Amino acid sequence: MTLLVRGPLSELLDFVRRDRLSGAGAILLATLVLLCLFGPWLPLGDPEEIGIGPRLSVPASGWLLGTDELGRSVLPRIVDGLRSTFLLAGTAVVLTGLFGTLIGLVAAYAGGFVDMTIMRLVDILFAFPPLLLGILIAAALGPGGTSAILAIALITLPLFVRVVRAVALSVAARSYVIAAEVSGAGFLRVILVHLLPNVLGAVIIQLTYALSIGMLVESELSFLGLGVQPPDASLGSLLRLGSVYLTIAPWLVFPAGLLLATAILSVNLLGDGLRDMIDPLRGRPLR
Amino acid sequence: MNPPVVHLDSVGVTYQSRRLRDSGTIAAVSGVTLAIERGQTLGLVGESGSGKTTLGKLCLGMIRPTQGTVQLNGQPFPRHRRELKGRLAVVLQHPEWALNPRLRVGISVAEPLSIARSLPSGKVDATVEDMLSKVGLEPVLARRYPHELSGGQRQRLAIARALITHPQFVVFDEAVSALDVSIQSQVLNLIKDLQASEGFAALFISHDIAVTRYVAHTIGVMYQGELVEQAPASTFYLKPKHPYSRALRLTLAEEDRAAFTFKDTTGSESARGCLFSVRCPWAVDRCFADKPGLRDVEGSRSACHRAEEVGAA
Repeated sequence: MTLLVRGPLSELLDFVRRDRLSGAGAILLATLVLLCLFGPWLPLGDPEEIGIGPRLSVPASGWLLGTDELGRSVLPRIVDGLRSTFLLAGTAVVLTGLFGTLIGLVAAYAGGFVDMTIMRLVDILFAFPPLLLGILIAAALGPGGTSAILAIALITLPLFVRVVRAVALSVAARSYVIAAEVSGAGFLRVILVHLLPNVLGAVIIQLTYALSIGMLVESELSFLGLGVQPPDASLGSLLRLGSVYLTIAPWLVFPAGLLLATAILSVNLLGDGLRDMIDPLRGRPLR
Repeated sequence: MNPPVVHLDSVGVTYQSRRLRDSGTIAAVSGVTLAIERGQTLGLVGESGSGKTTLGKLCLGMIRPTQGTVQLNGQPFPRHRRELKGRLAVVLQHPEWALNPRLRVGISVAEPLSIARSLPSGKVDATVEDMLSKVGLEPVLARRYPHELSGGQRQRLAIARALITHPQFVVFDEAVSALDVSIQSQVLNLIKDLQASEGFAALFISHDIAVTRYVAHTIGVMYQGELVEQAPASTFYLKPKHPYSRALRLTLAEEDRAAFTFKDTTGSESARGCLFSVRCPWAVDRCFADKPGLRDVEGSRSACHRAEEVGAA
């Protein structure tokens, strides 16, 4: 495993050099995440201070991306919004990753009735249009961060389970798994020692795709007012508020939209790069 | 006298056809009776789909027979595999998947020990190193990962893992088929030497009868799920008593695969007669009407009406 031999930093540099596009995605994503993490300490201004400048003012030195209808500076607000988007989508995707991997492995290895039951439930979840599922959950639990997280997790779960199950099925047919079974290895040992470490590559790739879908869904829900509630903002809610003033103050919408598109693009580029790295047909295998 | 290590008594495995309109059953293995004694190797040959691997899984208790019984040392299989405590092991075909790529190979080799919990953990490392030298590898290799090793080395490690609990019975399922010829003979010699020192019973499955010749004491020939001939290796390679075995042996002697001139007629078997009759150059009317069972023929067991004539030819 090269990672252990050469250290993660040199592996990352190698990755950037080999695959410029996804390297760029990785760097962009890292920059955005750092921006969100350290945003409060950067001299961007207070996202919630009202009347920092005139209302709906064009960009100027005190408010680099203009001000909104309450005279709040737009720049710190979109950084704040991006952080909410990352945080909600990220939390949801971590949940998807944990449960999706577990469910997929159990379905693949248990087989038979358990597999069939799990996969039919997953199919049912798959059948819901994503936004409809989000609205249903918001209606049941009330709008807010928690229901947004739950909605994103349930929307990204079905594909995740399917991918993990498919990879685990092929791993389970390998000689070392059969040899372990002959030696009397139990269900847990096979799943934890043999299957889990060998589906992780696929899990990581799938996590990046789930994250980009999650960010999109979070923005959609917030745009409809079903995500984070004021005074908190996410990119989706900023887009909705800004859309009212689209013709007179386009700086409310465009920077937020552009930031969201850039963030999702960077996640997708990174995901494509990781897939190319692991896919045996398209590059050297990651072991 | 001790019971044989593995004993199959008229064992069959049938699968229910999954198609809705087709209520038929598919027999993967039927009516197989055989026994493998301590220190003996049964070489199992036959074409793809003849049921060799299924028979191997039956012997290991990985699948339950739908007819007949499988016994281990005269006992039925325990309910939980863990109770076997490493008495059974397997070595399979693909060296690239022989070992978990995420584990150091020493851990993989030690796995049957950790499952059986038969050894205090302090002694495991020494046992693994000992086993590695037994299969002709440097003990320092235990710290490597599988992708740092060659196919032959990985297959040796798979053998080390199989033998680390000193099993009574080992199945080698196409264990050398993916290796090139020089590595093949090294690994075959290794298996032979280890059997001489460890005394395990073995089932050696191969589609290649040149390979079984090196290691097997007895040869069994499978055809469409049935054992059609069983004979001591020396007799088998000199005078096969079944037309199918004879054809297999011809490919060996003449180094010419074209000698195997039968058409593939799978699915068009004579319903009542011998399964092989539609492909058999020796077939007479009786073969299409009357199914031959295994019978003793001059030291061999053959399922052919004309076994004596085939053997004499």
